[in-house]
Amino acid sequence: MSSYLKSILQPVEQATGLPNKHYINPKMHQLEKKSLFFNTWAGLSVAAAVPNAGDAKPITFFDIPLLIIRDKNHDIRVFQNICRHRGMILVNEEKNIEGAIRCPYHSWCYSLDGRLIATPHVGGPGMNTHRNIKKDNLGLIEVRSHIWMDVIFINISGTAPPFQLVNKQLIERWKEFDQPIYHGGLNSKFTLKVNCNWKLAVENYCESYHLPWVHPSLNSYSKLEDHYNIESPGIYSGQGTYLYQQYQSSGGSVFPNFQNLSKKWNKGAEYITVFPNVLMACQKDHVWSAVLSPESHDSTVEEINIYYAKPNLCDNMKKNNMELWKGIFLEDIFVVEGMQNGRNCFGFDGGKFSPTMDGPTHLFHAWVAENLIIYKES
Amino acid sequence: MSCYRLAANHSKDVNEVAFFLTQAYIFSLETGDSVVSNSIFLELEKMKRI
Repeated sequence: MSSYLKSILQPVEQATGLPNKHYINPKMHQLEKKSLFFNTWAGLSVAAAVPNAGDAKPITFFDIPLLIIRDKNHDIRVFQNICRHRGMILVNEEKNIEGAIRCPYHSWCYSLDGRLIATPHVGGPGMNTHRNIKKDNLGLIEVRSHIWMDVIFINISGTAPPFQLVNKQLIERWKEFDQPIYHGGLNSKFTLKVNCNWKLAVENYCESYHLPWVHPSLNSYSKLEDHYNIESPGIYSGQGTYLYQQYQSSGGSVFPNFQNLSKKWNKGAEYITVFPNVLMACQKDHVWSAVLSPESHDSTVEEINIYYAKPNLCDNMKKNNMELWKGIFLEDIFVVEGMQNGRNCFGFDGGKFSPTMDGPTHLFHAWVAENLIIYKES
Repeated sequence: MSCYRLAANHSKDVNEVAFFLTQAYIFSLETGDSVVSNSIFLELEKMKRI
């Protein structure tokens, strides 16, 4: 085991963080791709991105072209976005597919559930079968997927334990939110591109230590001492508050609460990272997710989607709420980009954690280290 | 799609008919026109071309 990985796995009082190479070295990024993203359940997008039957969204995940499809039964599947014939990309842009997915090259056709249904002229002009072409064995290559709180999680390797097992503790923790959630539409989604390694976005999200300095407006009603660390080793970490202040319109209107929530959620809210790359938030009147898509070792796209307890709520209120959250995300950008630049200083050795305040960040580093060790040993 | 169907109707060459029907079949599959695609499928099946 590398000595620096060993050091990360020490108790927080003695541990150091991940060294610079995990943030600035493209080769390390490739290693993390396999060990942290392909072997686990990683966030890809949200089901709300394909709301209607036949909706198809191509998406590139670590250079792999994937295709999210909602079929006629409204089931969502993720496929490798290639034809089984010559590996041609099947779908290039978001669209609604009314019938079959037709490869633009030789027109092999697939049903929305991935079955190969036509191989035109495969046996010569006007002959659509060939004894060597077994359609049953040539459907689209499906990627294992699971949807939780509208986030589409995928396991590229196909070897991870079931999502529900891996995330059992978190599902239990937030079981009160296992009820219908409604995407707020155009006024409830935004995308940000940040020039930093994806892990810095996670690390910044996990802890409340920075709130008084970076988000002074939050601190005006929810002070640092009103927050607590959330630490579940090997699975998730984050922070919570005892003083959530919900959005209120100028006329005093608020969003409706989710049903049957316990007293904890009257004033409480929680902000958790589902490792590796999904930032999630639960509040009594809305929930949201931010799926982090690493574009390279120093560039990350954040896709944020907000959900409410009821459909068809006031557009203006939803817009204002989105702007509030967007403002907070924007406030964080100089921090994560500053840390990214700082990782080019050869004197930085992974840093020194505050044993009191940085537990959730250390826990994330330990998760990274553990998974790197498992990958290297396998 | 309909032009391929038309071409198939006007051709006397069985191979040409199968070719045009195949073209029409694929485009009907793509657009989700199941009435047309089912009907052409049966024609191609009768010709042992699918």
